[in-house]
Amino acid sequence: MDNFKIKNYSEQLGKDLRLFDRLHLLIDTLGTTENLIEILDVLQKILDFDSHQSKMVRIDNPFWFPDTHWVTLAFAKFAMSASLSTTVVTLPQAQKVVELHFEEWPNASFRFTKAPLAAGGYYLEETAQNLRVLYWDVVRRRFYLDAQQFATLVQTEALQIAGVEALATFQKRLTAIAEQLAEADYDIVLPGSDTANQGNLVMTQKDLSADILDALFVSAAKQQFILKRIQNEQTGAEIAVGDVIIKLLQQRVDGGHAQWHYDIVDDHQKVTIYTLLQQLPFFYRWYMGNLNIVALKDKREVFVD
Amino acid sequence: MTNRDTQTVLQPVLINRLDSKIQYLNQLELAINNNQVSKVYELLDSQKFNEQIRQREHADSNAHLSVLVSDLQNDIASFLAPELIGYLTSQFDFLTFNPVQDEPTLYDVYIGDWWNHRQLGVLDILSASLTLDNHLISELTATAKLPDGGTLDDIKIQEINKIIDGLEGFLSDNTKRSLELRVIEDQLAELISNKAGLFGRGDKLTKQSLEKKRELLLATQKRVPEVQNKLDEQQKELLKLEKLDVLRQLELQAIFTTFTDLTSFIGALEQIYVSYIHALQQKN
Repeated sequence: MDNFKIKNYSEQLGKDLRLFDRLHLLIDTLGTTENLIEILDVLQKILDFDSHQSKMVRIDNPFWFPDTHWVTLAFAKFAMSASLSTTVVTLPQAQKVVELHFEEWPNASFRFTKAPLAAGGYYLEETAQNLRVLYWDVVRRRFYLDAQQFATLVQTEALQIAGVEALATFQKRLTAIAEQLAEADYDIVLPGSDTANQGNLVMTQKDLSADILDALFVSAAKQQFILKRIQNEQTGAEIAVGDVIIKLLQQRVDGGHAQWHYDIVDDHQKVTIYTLLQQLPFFYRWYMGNLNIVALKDKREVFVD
Repeated sequence: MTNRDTQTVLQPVLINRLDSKIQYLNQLELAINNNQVSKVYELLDSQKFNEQIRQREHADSNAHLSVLVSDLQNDIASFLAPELIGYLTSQFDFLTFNPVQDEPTLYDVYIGDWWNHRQLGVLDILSASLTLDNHLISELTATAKLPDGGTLDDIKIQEINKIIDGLEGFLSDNTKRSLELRVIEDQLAELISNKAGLFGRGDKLTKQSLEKKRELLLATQKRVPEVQNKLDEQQKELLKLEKLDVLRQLELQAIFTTFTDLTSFIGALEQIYVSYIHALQQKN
């Protein structure tokens, strides 16, 4: 039988308590700081925290929360500082991850889930539809929009009801968060979400077949919009929607291929391609029907189902 | 009669003929110099001009003179084209005119500026006339006779949509079939493992029935690629027909913004030469 040494016990208990004290300090800082670099630093340390380093003290009770909870809370801080539209954080009953409610979208809620990737990272998802908005990798500093699922999300009833202004507010919020993260040397890819950058939105695949443009022509015509040819210094087609023009343009690239992209021309810089996908059923149907070809090129490799 | 005598006799006729050619070239030069486009058209084909503009029946041809400038046709067309195209654009603002490559006398004429706009015909600058695509015209004529919203391929489109519904139904049932197959295979495996080969009559019948069902499901599943191909084909055909319907509708809409009916549109196209020369004469 081993000897029980009070001193050893006391030392281990002290170590464990200091470990949890550090966690306490990190969580306290996450709650109080407004410094975004500090938030990122603290979040990373919380995610790195390994409770198994504690030999004696265990937190195994309703107050233990997974990584996704802390990621959602940290993101909430970014979301709050990025927009005048409020962000409310709630913890639904019997849940272990908080939910985010953005004022602009009162009928939707969001939270982070773990991305099933070897590289790690988290997805921000709308909880009712399980549709991803973005991927956030705190360790490798990556922040990417899921252009395909976000296009689907903006068409859902909850977001449709909220309307164009709400979508604009959310996109501004995303863009502002991205700007903050860019200051922390993040790799940012949010295709099509910034009203000020609606040119050269590259499509997923090169070489559009004539059938795809024919399908857009037919689909648009059924709603009294006309796909017109562009024949000047550019080659492609365009649809005028009031003051806004959707241009589909091609550029010759290496290997004899043509890279297609969208230019959304809006002198007022109020709309993005997602606004149009939300407001124009013909455009959305065509886009979703040819998603793997005409969707905006995003960092598809991190979006795994 | 000496050679000289013969020459003297023939001289006036020859000089007259040469004179008429020189005079023709001088007139053409003057008309071009003074931007008298209508005169240029008259000189290029005086028979047409006299018959259609001056309403003189059976006028003489001046082809023997206009042939003098046959090697200058491209240059003359380049001189005449901007004014003619300008006139036609003002009269038919829904038509687009594209020069035919390496053929300055010809312009391809399209209805509309939309995606896949169809060619209505070919404009000859020197004769100020349009050769129409009769197939397109007959399609438009047939469509214009249909009741509002009707399309030439309505019935075909409905039929293809029905076929597509059926094919999509077959493909969407595939998940159900896969599940059914898995259940049957599980049941068969259970039968075999439980009885270790000692089947009673009832079990044998069950096994046979399950095997038959499995065979049927496997055979149905084998058809999936073939059905998928057929679906692709039908969707392509549907797109082709819908595109043509949309084009005809847009073409008619464009025509009816300027003309009350198709007959007056076609009439106006056939009268381009006359209306253009009259417009030029009024301008002067």
